[in-house]
Amino acid sequence: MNKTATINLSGQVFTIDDDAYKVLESYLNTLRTQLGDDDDREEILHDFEQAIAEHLLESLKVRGKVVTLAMVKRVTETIGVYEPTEESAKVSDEPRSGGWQQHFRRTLYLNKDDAIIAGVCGGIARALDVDSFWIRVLFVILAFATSGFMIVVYIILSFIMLDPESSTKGFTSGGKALSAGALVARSKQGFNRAQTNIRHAKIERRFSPLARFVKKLFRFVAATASIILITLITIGYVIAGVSWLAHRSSTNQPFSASPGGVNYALLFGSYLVLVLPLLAILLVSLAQRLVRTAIVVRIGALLLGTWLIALVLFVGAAAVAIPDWANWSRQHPHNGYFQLQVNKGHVDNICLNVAGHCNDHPQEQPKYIPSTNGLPPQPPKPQMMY
Amino acid sequence: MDNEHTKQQVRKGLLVYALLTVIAAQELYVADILKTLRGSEFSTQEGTLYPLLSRLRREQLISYRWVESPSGPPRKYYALTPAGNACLKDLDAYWGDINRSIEKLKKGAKG
Repeated sequence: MNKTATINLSGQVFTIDDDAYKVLESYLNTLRTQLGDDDDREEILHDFEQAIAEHLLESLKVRGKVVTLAMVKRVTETIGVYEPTEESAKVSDEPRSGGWQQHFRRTLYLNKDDAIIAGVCGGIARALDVDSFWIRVLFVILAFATSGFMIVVYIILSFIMLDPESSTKGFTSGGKALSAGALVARSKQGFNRAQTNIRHAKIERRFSPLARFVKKLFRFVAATASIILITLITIGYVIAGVSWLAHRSSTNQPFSASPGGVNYALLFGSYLVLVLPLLAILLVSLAQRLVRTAIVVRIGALLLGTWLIALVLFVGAAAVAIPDWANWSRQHPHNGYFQLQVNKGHVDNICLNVAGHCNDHPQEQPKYIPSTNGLPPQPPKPQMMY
Repeated sequence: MDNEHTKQQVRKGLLVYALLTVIAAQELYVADILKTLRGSEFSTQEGTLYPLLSRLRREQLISYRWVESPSGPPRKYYALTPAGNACLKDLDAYWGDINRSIEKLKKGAKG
């Protein structure tokens, strides 16, 4: 009589004799140790597990339902011991020229090794070869910018993106004995994952190959278009901001209503609050080809810090300036620049017209009426907006 | 004396060349690669192949895509990248140079 265990190798569930399991476990542990701090350790281990699973399936086709010690020994001999290549782990990770098109060729997969929710961001990061942190930042910004629509997109992506992963951490938990309960839980988990694989594989089959082509095309076009668009928007904002500042920071009304410092704070604050996120997005989209990750992280942190300061500045200055403007506007209802319609303390309408007059107000101001009765000319009475 | 050690060194040095040649002919997954190599002087095992494939991928000479398999989990199918093709062309040329050099040396030794 033999005690058996249930294991999950690369999404395949095996029943395995206890002695065979111990040999297999030590083989995988040895591999893990030999790979050391190789950057691709998990991936290589996964490759090995998949190879073992395939060989075991072959053996099981010939005879039996249970993986025996003899089978494991034969399989590990077939696969052989790990043979490092001389330069392995010493190859530079710097992308080579012409390499970035390669990123788009890789199919988009969920990345369970680098997952916070479902591994969508991690998967995108791996496909694009950028740090997943920035993809997450982008997702969060977009989630706010699109009023939460991005969250729906995330959920959809988590279903669309494929799951190649099978628990690579299965039974190589440092050689510790597992309780029966943990064993059952793990094999169940593995089974569920295997089910998911099958489901995704079916989806893939239904939509390929046209869908795959469209997906690739879309990904390439979207990436190129977004970089161009973001660059243009950023340049536009910079030009518009500089000219606006130059025009407005003079003593023009209604800015004369508030102390000069407040106006500058308001202008710079609002400008930076708008432009910095765009710069951040631009940085991320250029990150993988032009600059190193360490520099990107530093610039990113700087941008974030500046943005927060600008936000505080903007909100603070606005709190000071808006009541001033409201006052000023009440005193100058037809200033031609700026109209605040104030109703019992609430701002009802804001009208900004750099060229001259607000359209919904009379263009002609009442003229000075020449005196006919000997009295001095009267200025027109200001019209109050209520 | 079977000179096995010397031969082994030659095989080891040429394994990358052989591997690139095999992958260039057709998009393959590891079992196919092993089967193709098995009939040649470069018969090898997964234990050698996986680290080598990983290295070549990092050097961006090869890339892979996932393909679903009729039985079991999706498989990695490897193909050459443009850089890999360029590398192979270079190695082909170099292999020609090596052959010519050997021939030349042989003649020189005779004459």
